[in-house]
Amino acid sequence: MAPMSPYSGKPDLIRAIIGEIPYLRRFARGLAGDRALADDLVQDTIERALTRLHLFDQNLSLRNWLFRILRNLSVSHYRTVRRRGEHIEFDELAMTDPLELQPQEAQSQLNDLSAGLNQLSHEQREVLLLVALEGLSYREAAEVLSLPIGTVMSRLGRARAHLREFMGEATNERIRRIK
Amino acid sequence: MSARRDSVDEAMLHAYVDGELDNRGRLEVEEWLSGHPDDRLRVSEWVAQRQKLHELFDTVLTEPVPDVIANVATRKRAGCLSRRIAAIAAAIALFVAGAVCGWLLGHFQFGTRAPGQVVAERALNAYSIYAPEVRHPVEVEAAQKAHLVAWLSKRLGTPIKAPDLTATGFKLVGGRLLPDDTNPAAQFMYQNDAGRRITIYVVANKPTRETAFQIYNKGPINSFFWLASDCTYAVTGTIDQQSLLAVARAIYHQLTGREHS
Repeated sequence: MAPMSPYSGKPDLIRAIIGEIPYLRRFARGLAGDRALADDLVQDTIERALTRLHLFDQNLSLRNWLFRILRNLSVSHYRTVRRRGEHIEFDELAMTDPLELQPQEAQSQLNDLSAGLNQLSHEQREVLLLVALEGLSYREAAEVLSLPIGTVMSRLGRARAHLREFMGEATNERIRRIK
Repeated sequence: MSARRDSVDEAMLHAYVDGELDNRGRLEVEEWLSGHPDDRLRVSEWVAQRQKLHELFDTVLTEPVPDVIANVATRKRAGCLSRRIAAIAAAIALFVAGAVCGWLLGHFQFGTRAPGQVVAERALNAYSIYAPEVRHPVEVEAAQKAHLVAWLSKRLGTPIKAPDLTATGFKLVGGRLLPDDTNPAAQFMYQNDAGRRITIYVVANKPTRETAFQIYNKGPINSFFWLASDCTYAVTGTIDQQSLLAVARAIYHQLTGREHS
């Protein structure tokens, strides 16, 4: 352990890691879309973190260090599935036909957002989730992703623009179909 | 001081939405937005995206952590096969322990568990997740109080209020919608000048009778809960029990016009 560690020892650090699991699961759910895949990612993240406790980067918060591990795992996962050409299943929610479900407008918008999120590139999605869902500052997001802060900001801008465009279209589409 | 600027670029609008600006920058952007409706619309849609992301994914925070993940963190490091065996053994042990606990609960505790305690427990869990949140403690901020109260009342299916607690030193931060098992629940968050936070958690679960204040706690977090005519309330915080009780009384008084025993 580095001398500046706020954790007095290994058991302390492990307890703290356990406390971060809900946030890891939320981030993973957003990244992967699919619940089982997300929980696999979290499990792999914890396993990897436990074998690398000595590498815990004191410049990051524990949560952000874990986010970084999780994100790196998800990137290598995406590379693998792209190479294999495997189809990634998204949440059923995103695939539900709005006409069949006839949900309230608020629910429809959530479905649109879920579908829109899946339309984003992995690079845009991870930035948007870290900043808008996990509440990281631009600097923190840049550290987690090992990117320059300017790249974080431009990806965030593109993510929001795409999402806005997608959700606008989805709403229009729904209105057309219901008419 | 004039905050007027000739132009505000898109990066600055994002920084505004993400709380990256200092006071001066914030004022400049607000000034700019007041005269540029297109940018105002963009900003409000980005904020809406963030709120919807929370609506979509925050429920994950209160889901129980799957055993398979929890076990990874606690089990000893060993070879792959023995780890798998250990996991199976742990699962069996958990199942047995769960069954025994369930049996014990059924026989000894169930009858003594106060009505509303489950709600208090959920309120306390929600508190422990959202109260430490620095940047996004609430979904809808106090600035939109009327909208917040109307929205939550609509979702809960009964008129609810966000009491004024300024007399006890707490000011409304805002609120959010949460799942309470299968019911929608409302959480109002308040903060005092020292930065301490309390929450009021409301579920419209139509209790069969009203009750006195009861306390539930876990570690440093206390929660006073009571059943009223159509809702169960839990007031939760890390302040001492006497102060929290004073807040609970103030809330009860405002909601009913009566003093609570």
